[in-house]
Amino acid sequence: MTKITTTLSEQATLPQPESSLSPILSAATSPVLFWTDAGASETAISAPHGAVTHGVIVGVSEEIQVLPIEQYLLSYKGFLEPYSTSGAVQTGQSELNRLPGIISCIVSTKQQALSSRLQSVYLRFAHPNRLIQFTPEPTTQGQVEYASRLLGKLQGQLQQVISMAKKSGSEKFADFEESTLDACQELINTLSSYLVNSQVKNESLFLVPSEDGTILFKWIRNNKELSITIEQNVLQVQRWTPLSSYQSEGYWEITPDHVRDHFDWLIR
Amino acid sequence: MADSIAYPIVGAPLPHEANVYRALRLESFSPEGDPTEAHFIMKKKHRTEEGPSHGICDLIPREHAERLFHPQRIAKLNVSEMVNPSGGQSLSERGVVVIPYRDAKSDEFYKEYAEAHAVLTGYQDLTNKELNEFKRHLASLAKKALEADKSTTNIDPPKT
Repeated sequence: MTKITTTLSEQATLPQPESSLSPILSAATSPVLFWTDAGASETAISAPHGAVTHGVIVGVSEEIQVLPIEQYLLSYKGFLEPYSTSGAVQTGQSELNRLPGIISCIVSTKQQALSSRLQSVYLRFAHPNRLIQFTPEPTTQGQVEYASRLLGKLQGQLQQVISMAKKSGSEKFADFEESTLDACQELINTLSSYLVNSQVKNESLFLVPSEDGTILFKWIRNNKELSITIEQNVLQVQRWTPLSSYQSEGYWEITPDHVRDHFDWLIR
Repeated sequence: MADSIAYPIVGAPLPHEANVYRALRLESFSPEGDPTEAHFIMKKKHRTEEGPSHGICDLIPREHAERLFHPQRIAKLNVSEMVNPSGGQSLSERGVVVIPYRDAKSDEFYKEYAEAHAVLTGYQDLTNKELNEFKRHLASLAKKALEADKSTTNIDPPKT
């Protein structure tokens, strides 16, 4: 396995996922801070504790939070709520300056490496004296296979939408704009990457076309429903819980690179 | 059609006890076979005639409606349930109504049942959030209607 040191412009050359974390740890010459997009990642847990000397970055959204490793281990073992960030340190500039010289960002796929969240990590943590590493995360084979199957299913549904768009005659749907199809593809890619890093399986989700040229994505899980209408490059997101309620929890208009927060809500 | 009208005829809102048929495109059903929000296109910029089209049950026989919309499926919806969702604000008070609506295009499609054509309208002032909630509600009603049809057709005919 190759350790990767990269800049944003070089991320496109990232390799596909591999299966071991040990080279990072053995090569580390200074304290290592782990970041994963999956929250409770087995990667950091399975690493020798001495190697993770600083902590784990658990959130990259509005504010970066660093959770001390002991707190993280408690969280992972179920003593705290999953993904609990109680005790986390919100990093201001002074905290950023104290971060270690090497930050390892564990990524599962090339798409994830290119996501804005990882770019956010880079932009916030990059420093002339700090090395940012992007390294593939080991994942369980079953989860990869599941995500792959689901990706195939959703790709098939998207292909149906595209073929409908080309159908002629009175039954023709409205034209699906390229930007809508591209946004849908990005949503599928993000979802696939997200599922690889999660523990969820057997999900109820689908894509269907609408006559007006939009695409509806729906994911129902337990007593929650995430509904996304894709129109050009905008995702109209709405969430319901419980399923029987009429009113939704809220309405968001986002670009596809911001959808992960809503996946987080669903699987929480 | 020579005898079709060239200008729209808009009637008074249908009474809440009225029932209407809504045609559902096969492509927009979920993989489990349930109606979805994609069956109810409602945009804030819609003109009246662009609202979701319905057939007034009392003015067109079901068999004819089924033939007219084939291969789409049709769901029988109650107007009151449509615009007064339980657990939500009354939409009829916000001006959401089902109105009889005729123009040359609908007359040509409905032919001898032209008077049965109606459209859902008045939703243009709802927010995007409210519109999507309303669509989801209509999809849920359509699902119940299809399930009711299914259970009805499964009932053995009475023995004579």
